[in-house]
Amino acid sequence: MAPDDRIREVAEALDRVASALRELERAGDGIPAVERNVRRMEGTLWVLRAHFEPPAGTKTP
Amino acid sequence: MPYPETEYWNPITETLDPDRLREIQLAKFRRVLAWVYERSPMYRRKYDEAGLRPEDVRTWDDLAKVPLVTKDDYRCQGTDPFPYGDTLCVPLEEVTEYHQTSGTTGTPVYQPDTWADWEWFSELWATILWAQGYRPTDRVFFPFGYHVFIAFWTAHYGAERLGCEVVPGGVLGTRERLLKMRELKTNAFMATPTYVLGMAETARKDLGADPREWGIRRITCAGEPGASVPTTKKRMQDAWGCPVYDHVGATEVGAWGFECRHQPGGQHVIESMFLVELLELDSDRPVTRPGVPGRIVITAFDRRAQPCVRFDTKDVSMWAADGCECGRTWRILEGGVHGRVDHITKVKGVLFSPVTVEEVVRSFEELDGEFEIFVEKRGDLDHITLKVELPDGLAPPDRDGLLKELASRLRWKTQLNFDIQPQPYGSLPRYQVKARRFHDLRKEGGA
Repeated sequence: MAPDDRIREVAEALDRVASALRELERAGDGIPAVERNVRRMEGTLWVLRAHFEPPAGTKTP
Repeated sequence: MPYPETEYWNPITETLDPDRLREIQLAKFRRVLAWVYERSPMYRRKYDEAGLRPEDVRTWDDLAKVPLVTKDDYRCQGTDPFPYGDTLCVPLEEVTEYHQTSGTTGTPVYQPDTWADWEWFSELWATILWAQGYRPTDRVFFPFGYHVFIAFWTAHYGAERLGCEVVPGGVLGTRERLLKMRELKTNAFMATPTYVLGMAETARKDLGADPREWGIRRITCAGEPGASVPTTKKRMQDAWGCPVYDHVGATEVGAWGFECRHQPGGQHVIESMFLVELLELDSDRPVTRPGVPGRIVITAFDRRAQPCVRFDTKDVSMWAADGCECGRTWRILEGGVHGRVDHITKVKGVLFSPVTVEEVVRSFEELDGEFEIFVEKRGDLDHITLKVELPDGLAPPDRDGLLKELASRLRWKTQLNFDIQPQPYGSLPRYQVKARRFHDLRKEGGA
């Protein structure tokens, strides 16, 4: 698989994880144990975005 | 095998086509520029004064329009939101880590980090350590006093992130740290070059042990240029019987460069996460040709609470002409960081870098490697003194011959005549963090 295709594939999977985190946050509304851990997981997600999102975003069509 | 065995932590970004990498860097630069302009009053003020709006930066040629930031720009700290003031880019409640610079060049800089920043910083270290051959099966010792200085904090978490078993050396003394390393059979550790040598010395003299027999497979250095100074690197590798790798980073910047396990004679820049520019020593014109020294200016693309954009580190390096057999496309800074602009000074009209003295002193096996340099004015003339420790029991004519050879090599390397003052063994300061061996008393008001 070409690097750009691989990057896009990972970036799309990251989007799905971000959606799942938002859903988790909604389900745990008002529960600090959920909200705080979601924030923390968003930190980990940010690192993966730093690796893969900008390359995907600058892909020449 | 429980983990993928590849050369790279991220095989995609570490081997990207250079043109593609530049395209990504420009996109990331524009993003962080907008981020700091929108969120940090310090950056907004600076850019407004320069008549710059983030959207004015579209191409690489536009980069020069963006004002440089120095430590002086952080002097606005100490106000609300306390203590970061106008440098903070996120709500204070998102800050989860506090650290600060050591303040050796002025008032300390306060560095906030969010959870995302801390993850990012440890990710940088994971990138570095993987490239240096660390793997999840390693047991890594940290002989480091965990405190307000960032130092090896993020290396600890980077190693843990990678899957290593980390052993915090904390407040233990050197002897106790060594005993713990031996007891636990740790196979790697991280420290400043000065401390790496000091630990080997303590192992030999206080414990009567040969650290080469302890099974240490690799050492990673930070904090001083020593691990990129060939004679200092050799001294450390000989003392511990394993490769010693360098890394570069700064509190305000992050861990931005590293020597990979192939030891290419320089440090790869983590170009997927940073933009490193070299500017001429006495102007802001870019240095693009290999082999020409320049000031290192850095932008951290992905830090959020207090990212640096075109931060003038005042450190000096040069681009390498060649790549590395590791296959990374990230550029290499030859010889790592050569020293600081404010340490590279004219003595008797000759450009002088203290790192050259380190290289010479540590080329003598007879010397223990400790030294201090003093430059002062005597009348109208510059005077340069080198204090160096001699081994116990060294008597004439060996002593005189050694000093004569030292003076000769120093003159050859620096074009300067040194006033060499031999000191008893163990009399010069030992450092666990950044060593301060160069004293320009002309600047410090001492003469």
